[in-house]
Formats: sequence, structure tokens, C-alpha cells
Amino acid sequence: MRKAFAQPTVLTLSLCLLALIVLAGLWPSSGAELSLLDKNLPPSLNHLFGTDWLGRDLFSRSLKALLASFYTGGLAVALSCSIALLLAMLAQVNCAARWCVDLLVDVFMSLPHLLLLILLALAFGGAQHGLIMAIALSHWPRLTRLLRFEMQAIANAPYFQLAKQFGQSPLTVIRRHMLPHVIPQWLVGGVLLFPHALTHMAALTFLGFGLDPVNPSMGALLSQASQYLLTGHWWLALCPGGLLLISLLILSYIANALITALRRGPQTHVSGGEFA
Amino acid sequence: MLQLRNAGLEYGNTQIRFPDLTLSPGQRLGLFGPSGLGKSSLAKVLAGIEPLSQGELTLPDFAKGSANPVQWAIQQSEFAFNPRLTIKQSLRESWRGDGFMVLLDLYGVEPGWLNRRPSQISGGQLQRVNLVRALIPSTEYLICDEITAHLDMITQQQIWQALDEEAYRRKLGLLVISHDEDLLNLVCDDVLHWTA
Repeated sequence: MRKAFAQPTVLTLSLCLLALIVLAGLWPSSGAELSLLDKNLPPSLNHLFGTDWLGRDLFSRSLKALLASFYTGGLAVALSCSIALLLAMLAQVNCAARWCVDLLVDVFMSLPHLLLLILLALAFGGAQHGLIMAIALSHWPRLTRLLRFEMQAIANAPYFQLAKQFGQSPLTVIRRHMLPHVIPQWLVGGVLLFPHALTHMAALTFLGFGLDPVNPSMGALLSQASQYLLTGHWWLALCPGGLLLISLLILSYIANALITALRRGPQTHVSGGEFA
Repeated sequence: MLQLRNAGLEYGNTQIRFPDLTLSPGQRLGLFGPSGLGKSSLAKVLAGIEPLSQGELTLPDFAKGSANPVQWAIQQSEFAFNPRLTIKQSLRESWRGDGFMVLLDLYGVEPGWLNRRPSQISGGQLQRVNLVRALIPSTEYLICDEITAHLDMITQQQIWQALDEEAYRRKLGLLVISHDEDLLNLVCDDVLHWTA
């Protein structure tokens, strides 16, 4: 993993993303107030992203929206990843637990994704809380399945079985031989899940099931902008949309670099005929 | 005493019938049979890793949390080591303390290699480390599953010589699984022929 960040592109992009988040946190929200004299101004040096139909500076609104999305998305992804790891570990306990976890994964994966999101968001009362729960409870199955099979492969590896043979406690065996192989995969899975979750969050908010439209969030900005697109106010959708797209692309790039680095590292498990 | 009676295993549709065998301390029993019969499965059953579907298995008792007196050494020693740990860390899996140094010398493993990873030393060296790791003081029986099948003659001879002395000194019970009949006749007191 350290090797991935030693690559100049990955390092630069990570720093860019970090800088963007810090900038968003520190950016004064003074420009985001109503100012009907300045409404619908196209992008200029005064207003980098232009202003909206109420004269609010779109750049500062976009940054706040990005920050809000990262916060909610990060929380949802962290929850989702924890669920995935817990369930994958539970599946290692015995046959019945494995069967239950597999069934649960199958059920969740067979439901239409967006429909499930909407139902969950509604069930948890909508708004930020509902959105986080909806994302967290609908995004764990893929990662769970991945982790579960990784763990299965390691449990079948001779060195894992031998460690038990030497009298080590189950906890020690898992800590020494299972987790070091699984944790990097888990982290990368989480980073990959993040852009996915952000898109879905924006989609839910766009559809009206997510965040409060008064507070800036990516989905709310885009959904409101869509009403003004036909009037020629292109910057309302293009600028925040572009910002979201760029941050998502950077995140995906970093995640992919991490995966590549992981594949070059020590092999996770063996693929020998009779031990497979 | 290690004893197997009327035992068998089922993997889905595949059924394996194991031969009856008894291994007492100090005995060297060879198991000869063509590939595909389930010799490696037998090794796993005797080491207590794979539970039997039928039949009886008598194993020496040992306290929970201590090392199994029946140890298992496999042919592909590279799979027997966690690729992330150094040789020293792997040896510490079974050994408490540095008692393995004497054995390493006996088996001709250079101490300078202790800080390397399994992928950084040769297969012959790794197999010796594998045996040293299995031969902790509490070990009474050793299941050798084709441990030298992939090695050159000189390395094979060195390994078997060291193991022979060790087994004699400690009265270890050895079960040597191989498809090489000459080797079995050389190393073992009795050879069991397993046919389908």
C-alpha cells in the first residue's frame, strides 16, 4: 500500500483531494447568502461557478455540498464496511452461520438496488439519518461476499491449518494469519465503495428521498439545477456536476492504484490443486 | 498410539476408504499407493485437521491450547508458511524460545536466512525449516506427506538422514507417505501397500 502512494500521480491526486476537502472546510460561506441583485450570473472571477436563481455564489455552495456529501458518504461507507467485515467473520464460525450470511447476501443482492435504497431511506425517516442508514444497509453485500471468499481461501491454506496444529488460540490464528491478508482488501473495498455511495446519495437526493434541499448537497444542487437547464443557465448543473465527477474520478483512480499495488504485494493465498 | 480402523471420508460424491493402520512410538511406517487414492486426505485426518465421516480414529490426548503431538509436514512447503512472516517468525509459531537453533544446525539451515521470507529461500531449505518447525519437543508422531518428492537426491538424503537420527533419538513415530517404493524400503521398518 505504501508503494501505491510512492507513485507521483497517486500522491499528487491524493493531496489534491485532501486540499479540496480542506478548502471546502475553510471556505467562508459569506458568498452563499441571498443577493437578488446578483442572480443568474455566469461564471466570472468574482463568482467562479457563477450564481444561482437567488444570487447565491455557486462555488461556495458547491464546496459545502461536496463536504456534506463526503461526510455523509464517509459515515455510510464506514458503517457498511464494518457490517461487511463482521458478517464475513461470522461466516467463518460454523456451517449454519455461513449459510445464514450467504442467504442474507443473496437476498440483498437480488433486490433492485435503487428501490432498496428508497425503501430503506423511507423506513429510517429520510433526511441525513435515513440516507446514511439506507446507504450503509444496502452496500455491504458485495464486500461481504468478497471478504467471505478471501477468508475461505485462507482457512483452507495449509499454513492456517498448521497454525492451529501448533496449539495457537483461534483468536491468535485469525489475528496473525487471516486479518493481515484481509484488511488491505477490506480498505480498498471501502475506498471503491465511496464513489459508489456518493453517486447513490446524490441520486436519492435528486429523487427527493435524501438530504434536505435547503442545505447544499450534491444531489440537491443538481436536482434544482435541472429546472433551470432549459433557460440557458448551464453553469448551475455543469459546475457542481463537474466538481463531483472530478472528485469521484480521483477517488476511483486512487482505489485502482491501491488494488494494483495489492496484487503486486505478497500473495494473499495459495492456489495449489489439492489445497484449493 | 495412532490407530485407524474401518475409516472413510466423503467429499460430496467422492468416497475414500482408508486402510487400517497402527503407528506406535518409535515405529516408521511407510504408506505406498498410487496418486489419487487420498493419501493427503489420510494425512490430514491423522493430524486431526479433517474429521472422519465414518470409522474410528485413536489419537494421543493433549491439552487444549497446547501443540498437537501429531504433526503434519506437506510436500509443498511453500504453502506451509504464511508468505508475510519471516522464517524466524514462522518458527516461533510452534517453538517457544530459541530451541530451534540446535535443530536448524542439525538440518543444515543457515541462521542467516532466518530473517528472509519463505519466497526468498529455496524449496529444499524451506522443507528443512518446515520439519524443524514441526519437530517441537512435544511432537510424538510426524506425518511426512511426500516431503522430499520434489527435491534432488542429495537434499533428499540429507533430510532423511537428519530425520532418521532425530526419530531414533526421540522415539518418534513416523508415517512416511510416498509413491517412491525404494525410498520407503530404505527409510521404513514396514511398508503398507494401499490399493484401490
